[in-house]
Amino acid sequence: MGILSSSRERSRLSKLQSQLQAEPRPHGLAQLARDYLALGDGAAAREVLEFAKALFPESEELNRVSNLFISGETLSRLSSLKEQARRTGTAQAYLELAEAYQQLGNQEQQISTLRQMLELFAENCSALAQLGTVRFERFLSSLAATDGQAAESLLVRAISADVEALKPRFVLADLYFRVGAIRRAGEVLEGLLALSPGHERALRMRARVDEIPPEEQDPLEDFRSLLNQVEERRQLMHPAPPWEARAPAEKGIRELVEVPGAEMERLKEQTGARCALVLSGAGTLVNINATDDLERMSRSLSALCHRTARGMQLGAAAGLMVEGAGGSLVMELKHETVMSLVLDRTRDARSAAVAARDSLERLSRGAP
Amino acid sequence: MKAVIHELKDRVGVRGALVMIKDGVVVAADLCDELDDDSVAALAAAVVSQTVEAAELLGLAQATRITLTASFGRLVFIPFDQLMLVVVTEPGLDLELTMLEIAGPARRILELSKLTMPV
Repeated sequence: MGILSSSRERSRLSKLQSQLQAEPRPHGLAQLARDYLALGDGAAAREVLEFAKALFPESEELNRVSNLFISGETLSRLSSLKEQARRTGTAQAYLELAEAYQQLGNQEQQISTLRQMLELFAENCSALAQLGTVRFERFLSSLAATDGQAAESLLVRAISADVEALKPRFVLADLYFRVGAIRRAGEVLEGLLALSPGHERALRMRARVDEIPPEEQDPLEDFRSLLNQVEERRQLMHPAPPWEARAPAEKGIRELVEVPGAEMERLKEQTGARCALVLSGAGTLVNINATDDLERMSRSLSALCHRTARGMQLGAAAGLMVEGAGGSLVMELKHETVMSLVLDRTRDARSAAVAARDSLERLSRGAP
Repeated sequence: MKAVIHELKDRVGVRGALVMIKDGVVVAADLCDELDDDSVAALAAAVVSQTVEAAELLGLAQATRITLTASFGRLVFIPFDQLMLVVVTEPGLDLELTMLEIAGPARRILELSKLTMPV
């Protein structure tokens, strides 16, 4: 690309960036980041990805672009880190290698490196804390009690391995808070703040703990039964990160009955769907030409998808696509919300799935 | 059929694959360590029987491919006459790329299934 055309492209992308900041859409932001990467502007691509991932953390397309971006930087480092771990065999070398795998999104290799490290160096706090954090993140997505229990056990072991470590205490307090074990979260935070009184995110989390009146707290705080409740309800007791700075309250999808109608009309038109449906735990939010059969099938297939994903330890189910000789069914899932589209065989189910995922992200964020 | 399954597992982003009879009996499998052949087959049988029923009810005719996406992986089910191919892939892999990787081995399994299980 010549200097002139490169400058024109940069100017076009800059305008597009302003538009997308005013009206963010995951697909548009992912494309913008790709364009910046194609232009060789890694810093701008990073800025766009950071902005986009904060708004749409579960967008598959954004995750893919982000992985692509990180992969380029990290892959070149990976081989030297492997060699370093093999040659020096130090705990630090293994930790750096595990972090590189984490950046590449290769969780299996990250876990395998950390386990190898634990075999070599016994109860290493950093390895246990990383493993505990991975399991905690998995729990936030799967809501499976076994993930929550494993996270707690690893984080407690990390704290025992190094009583002055801050990170495992912070993640453990976060875990306790999200499942509703408020007293336990408070106790862990006390310990953390005694070690580091100015820890900003811990201070914010303690402020949240202090806000919860005793009558709203579970007096027994049996951690296992709290985890089981989360798994059964498919919902965390306190879903928002307790350490985040306060932002205006996000609208729930149930409060947006009018808006999903417009969003779904737009989606139906965009994808050429025969009919469209949005269901929530409370009932049907939008029904555009959908039959009772589709409603019934959407509910039973969504439950089946969640069961299957959990049974195969794949975390939370996010979507189902059934392609048939006469058309296709596209379902996007997020917690209790199900979005279904039925398409004729001439329509592209895969691009409809991408568009439906975008719409679901927007609806659950309350974007108009 | 085992050779095709092993080959499929070596493809980019594929964690494992199995071929089963639709009632859940495993014919050939090569899955990653965390997954148990029989459990995967049992879950797959349930998914496919319900989705096939749903597809017919919704006027989509016979289901030719079913894709379940989850946070930590993706499952692709391809029903043949009496057999079914189940493929477990990485979650971040592009769907088009996944289908491209699966298409060749799936065709060979279909040919083999015709040889071994004439309908």
